[in-house]
Amino acid sequence: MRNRKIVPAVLLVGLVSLVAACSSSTPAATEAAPAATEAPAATEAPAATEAAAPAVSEAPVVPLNITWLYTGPENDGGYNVINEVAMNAMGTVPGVKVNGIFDVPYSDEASQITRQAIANGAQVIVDTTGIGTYLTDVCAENLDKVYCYSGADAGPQPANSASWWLPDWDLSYAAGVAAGLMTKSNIIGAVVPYEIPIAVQGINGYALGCQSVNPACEVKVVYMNSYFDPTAATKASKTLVNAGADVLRNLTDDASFCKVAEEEGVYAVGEYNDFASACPNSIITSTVWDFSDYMIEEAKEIQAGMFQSTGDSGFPEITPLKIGLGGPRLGTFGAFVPADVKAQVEGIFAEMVDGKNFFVGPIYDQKGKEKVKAGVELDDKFLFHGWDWYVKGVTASEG
Amino acid sequence: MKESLIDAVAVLPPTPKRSFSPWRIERRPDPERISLYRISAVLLGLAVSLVVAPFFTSTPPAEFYGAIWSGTFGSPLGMSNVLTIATPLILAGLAASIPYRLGLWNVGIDGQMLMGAWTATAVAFAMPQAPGFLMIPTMMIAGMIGGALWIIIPTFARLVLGVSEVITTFLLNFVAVGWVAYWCTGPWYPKSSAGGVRAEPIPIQGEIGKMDIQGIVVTWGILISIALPFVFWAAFRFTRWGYEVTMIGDNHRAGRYGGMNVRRLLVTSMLMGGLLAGFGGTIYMMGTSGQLSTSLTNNTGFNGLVIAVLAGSNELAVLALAFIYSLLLAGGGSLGIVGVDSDLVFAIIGITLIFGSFGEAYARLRLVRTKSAGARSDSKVKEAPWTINSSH
Repeated sequence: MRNRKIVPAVLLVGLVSLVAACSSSTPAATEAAPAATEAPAATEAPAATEAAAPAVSEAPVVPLNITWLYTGPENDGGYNVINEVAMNAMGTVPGVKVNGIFDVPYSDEASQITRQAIANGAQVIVDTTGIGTYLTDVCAENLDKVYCYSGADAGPQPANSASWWLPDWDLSYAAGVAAGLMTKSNIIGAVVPYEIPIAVQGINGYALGCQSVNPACEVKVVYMNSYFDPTAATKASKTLVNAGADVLRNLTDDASFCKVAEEEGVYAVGEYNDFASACPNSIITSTVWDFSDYMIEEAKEIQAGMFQSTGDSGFPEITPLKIGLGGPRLGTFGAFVPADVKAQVEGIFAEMVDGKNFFVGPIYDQKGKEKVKAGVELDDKFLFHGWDWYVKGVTASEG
Repeated sequence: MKESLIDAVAVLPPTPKRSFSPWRIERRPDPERISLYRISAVLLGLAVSLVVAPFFTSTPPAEFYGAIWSGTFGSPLGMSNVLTIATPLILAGLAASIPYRLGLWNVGIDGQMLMGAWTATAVAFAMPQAPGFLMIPTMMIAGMIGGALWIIIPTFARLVLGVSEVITTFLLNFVAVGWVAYWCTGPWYPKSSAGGVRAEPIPIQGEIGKMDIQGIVVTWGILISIALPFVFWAAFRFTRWGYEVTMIGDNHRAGRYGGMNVRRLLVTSMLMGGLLAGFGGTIYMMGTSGQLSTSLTNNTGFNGLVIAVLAGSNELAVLALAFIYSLLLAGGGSLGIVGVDSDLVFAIIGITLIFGSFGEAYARLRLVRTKSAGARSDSKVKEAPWTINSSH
């Protein structure tokens, strides 16, 4: 019985903390009250502008607190960096204040963080991580307090929530064209986080784009079971180079893929951020996920009381591609890229901006079976979330 | 091989025999206060890091402390978060603490929690129409079995081949993450998911009910989590098994000499650790979103290991420290919301734990002047730790 005396001591500590917990519930209640009265300001304010709109031509500034949720650390060199660009663009709208929360995990902690952010006065939550129901469940609890943007969510959205995304299939196709024009080994590689449809469409687009200019093109894929893990991404990139790939592409968040490309003397096409300055000698071009224009527009719509939910459609609002800053676009081309290659990739991208669908049959699966008949176009809904088989020429393995 | 069956690693450092400085370190003669010193050290570390931290961020101090307050005691939501985090953390602490009594390190708690939650999910999907009163207990039992199964290989590798359980339990974490990732992206991939990696939610009747105490919303899983440390505290004092584990933890040769079956105790305490971890992962999943994901545990297992080491084989200290740790995590979470870098939050937790580990040493050792003859004489008392513990 060596710890006989410790028992009362521990009980005392426990008791003190319990007492503290209980006594605090009263100030808590009073503190929560102003929060509750503050929060509806978001909903009240748009009403005020609507009423005032016909009378005053210049809309008054509506204060709006917007919180962004990120997976992985700040300055991850890729995905979070470009999303912060859009967040800060949102912050330029008069009255809008933005802040970001990083390292949000795919667990209940994401819900806890969201609830806490709403209690702290966030009137809009923008999720860049794909936490799905961890976010939308909390939004549904706070219908009159908050608006939510649930990144790439295919689930039903409550009335105060919208899912949004971008035509990544088109970007992937353009990346494939760039890779196909530059590869000499006719093997191109991709480092991919998880084997899920949203990644499969990116791989298939990449493969079809490459094969459109280089019919012998093969795509090798390594999965690494994480969005942000520079060590694993470096290893996976080296594996791909050893397997003969001479163009690397990332669907992972950081810049390790192109650092490896620089070291090994192969090319790379970037996804999410513009990686040209990080890897000037390897990056052919990047497919940049710039949501700035879209997010500025959304902030203004909320201020004007015009928020629109995407409802139960299971399909996100798709941010259109754009030539020039502000939208999803092609990034800087490497100085080593021949002018005709650059022109060809830009030409195809311009056609995409004009609305041309490049996903037209015949499309064959890995075994060479015709899955999409000649002339049949794949629609956006399938491209977003329905593609669960690989096209011909893709080899995937776990990293 | 038999001799190294249980090498009580890091239980007590040797007392230096001779020192040339006028000061020397020796064991404390008053081991009863060990846990009190430990917990005070953690609280002191918390105080120091919280005083220093605002100097390293641009967030104004008022907002900084306000966020911690509202993220913990200061709001019902904060308390809900604290208790939600504490529910699996207490169990993770126990899952590390019980094998640790025998000098065994269960570093694979995260993996065991994941496998527990995976097994429970599999059971829930196998009986989607079952009513809640049937599904919930079945899932809980399945979760315990899943966690215990995940520690069987390390246990027997240790028992038969003498392979260090530190390595095997640790590496099995990665296997568990890979296994869960396969199921979340493959057979259980939810129709509604796009970018995130998580399984289809379990049927709604499989989720644990929530209590609402003056706005503090928490599942009744917390009651089990709070009760279990008391159960084990009593078990180690009033049952034969507990007595034998305590005894062998202090000195395994003496225990074997006294006719105890060391191998049986090793197996039972390891399995108990895995079982508790699996249960923790399961009730956490059932009490929150009802979804399995690779980051379900979010390092709860490693945090539990830290708690167990700081608490040093006292289940009630595990409970108290797990609660303090949950305050840290919940307060840290709300700091991110007012723009404090998450690295600073890790630093606060780190400083607190460093103080805790100093306290861990301070609780056992003290500095005395060698010139005083009195201090030297009572240091003899702890020479053989098991002798003074045989008051049972």
